[in-house]
Amino acid sequence: MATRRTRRSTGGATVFAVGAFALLGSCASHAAPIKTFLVPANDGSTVTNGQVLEFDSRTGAFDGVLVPSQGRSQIQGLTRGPDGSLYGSYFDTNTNTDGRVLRIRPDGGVETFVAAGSGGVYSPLGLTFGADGNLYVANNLGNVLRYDGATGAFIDVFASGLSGPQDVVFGPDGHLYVSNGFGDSISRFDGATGAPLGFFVAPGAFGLDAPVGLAYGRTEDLYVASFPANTIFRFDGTTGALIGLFDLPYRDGLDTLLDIAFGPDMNLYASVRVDGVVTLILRLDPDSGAVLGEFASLAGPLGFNTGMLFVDQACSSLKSAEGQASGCFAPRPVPEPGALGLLALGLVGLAGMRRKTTT
Amino acid sequence: MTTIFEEEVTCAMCGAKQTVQEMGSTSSFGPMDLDTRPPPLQRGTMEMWVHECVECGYVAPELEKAVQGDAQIVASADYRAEIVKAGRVRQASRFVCRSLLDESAGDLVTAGWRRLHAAWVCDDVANVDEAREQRLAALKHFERARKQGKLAMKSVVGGDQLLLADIARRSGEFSRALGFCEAGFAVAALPAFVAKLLAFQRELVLARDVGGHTVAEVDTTPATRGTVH
Repeated sequence: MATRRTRRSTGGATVFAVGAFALLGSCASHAAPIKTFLVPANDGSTVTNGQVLEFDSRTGAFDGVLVPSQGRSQIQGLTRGPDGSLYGSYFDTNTNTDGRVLRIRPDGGVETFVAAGSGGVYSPLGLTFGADGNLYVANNLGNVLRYDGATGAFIDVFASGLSGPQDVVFGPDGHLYVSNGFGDSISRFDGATGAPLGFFVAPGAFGLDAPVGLAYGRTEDLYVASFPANTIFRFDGTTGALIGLFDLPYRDGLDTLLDIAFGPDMNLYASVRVDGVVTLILRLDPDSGAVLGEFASLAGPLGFNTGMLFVDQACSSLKSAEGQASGCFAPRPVPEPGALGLLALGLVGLAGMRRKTTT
Repeated sequence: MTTIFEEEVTCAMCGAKQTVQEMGSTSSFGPMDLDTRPPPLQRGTMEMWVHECVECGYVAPELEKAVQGDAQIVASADYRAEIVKAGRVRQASRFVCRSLLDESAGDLVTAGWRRLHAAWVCDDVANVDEAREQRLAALKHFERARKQGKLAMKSVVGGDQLLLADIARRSGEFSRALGFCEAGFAVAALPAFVAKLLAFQRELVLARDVGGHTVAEVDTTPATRGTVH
């Protein structure tokens, strides 16, 4: 599979280090800005299950299918790794088998990162990278599994005793927060050791019902999507006190609030499946919860899927909540492979010049 | 054990004589699924639940019987396309065609059940796409029937909500599944075992599980029980 994203050719050749450095800088600054919005999508059929759809993060225009169907496997979570790859959690929702994590490399290649069943992974849902560079995966058997962020090798059961864990996110305090979909609560764990720190939001508190997606906003408050009532809860990121309750104008029991993420414009985005025939991406005021408009729409009956995220330089405006915590990633400029080669040549050239001057 | 006998019948549609297999009796071992799908041995008798006329393609539980309007449906393009639809086992197509006839006769509950039976046949051959399509059709019929005050499952209090929750869940319609669960919980004098099954459905929804489960799993499912931190 290939992505449609193309990179500017480095062109020409120079063996001088100064030229290579200049070219490297040119590649980083002149490459088309990355401004994408990615949405995992399943529609229950083997033709389209497990796709990742790509949109323009500024306009909401549909750009195409980034990751093709994975047959019977549905995608239930998506994040971006430190290496710039995307990581998606997949399993066959018909048989609850084949739970695994796939890596979608920046060049578009799709490969297995966490093998099916590794470490007891059963039906993986939300996933996130920690400050230690490792991957944390919500596993529907009631725990969070940790994998080596570079190799995908199983490390340990990081957290357990959960009730239908849906999403995982590291908070600004460095602790791990997990939504208990079945337990109607938010659990908190020590971000370094995995030791339980109790409930951040107690079961059913404030009417919390089946929490799914989690995201931190620019104010470092925790936003929680609760899908049975199409409601977004905003909790104080430090105390867990309820700050706001955004009841989306959709029909409970018919329409589905799927997920939330923050956009590069610092607004809150929510995906809502309406009537089972279309999924709308709504732009919301993160303070009032007011619907500012429909950002994008996905035609077709997409199944329950979470993990939408932005990859956009402007995401850096979210500061401490940027990245894994908010679903808004600001990619660092990545040197072009060709430029790296030229840089190496330039360094060789420099070494040669130095050798000449010293002899 | 299942006993089968042969019977010569005359198609009410075209008059063709033919021999069909009929079920005398059957046994059932094992629990049924949450949508009442029977266990394997009993499911093996589904070939005899409806018959197809070898001459005209009319489908009925009893080929000798037909009602006004059936001939028009059997001759319709939709019916002819459904009975030979590629990529779907013939018995499932027979249930689909029978559903068209029942719908035409105004019996939406039976039409819904025929679609669900078609889904069960597709389940057995792991045709997940077709099974989902048939469940969605069943859900549509049952919901229309409910609006007319007719329930798909009347024998158990809360059973209708339980059935529809399972059909919706297995179709990936999770919000609707939860909606039916909530409606079920609100039913007066809800039996405890139905409440347990509804709670199990809710648990399955949150596990994004669209697979088949039996009623025997309710107290044994491994999903996420225990102390919550």
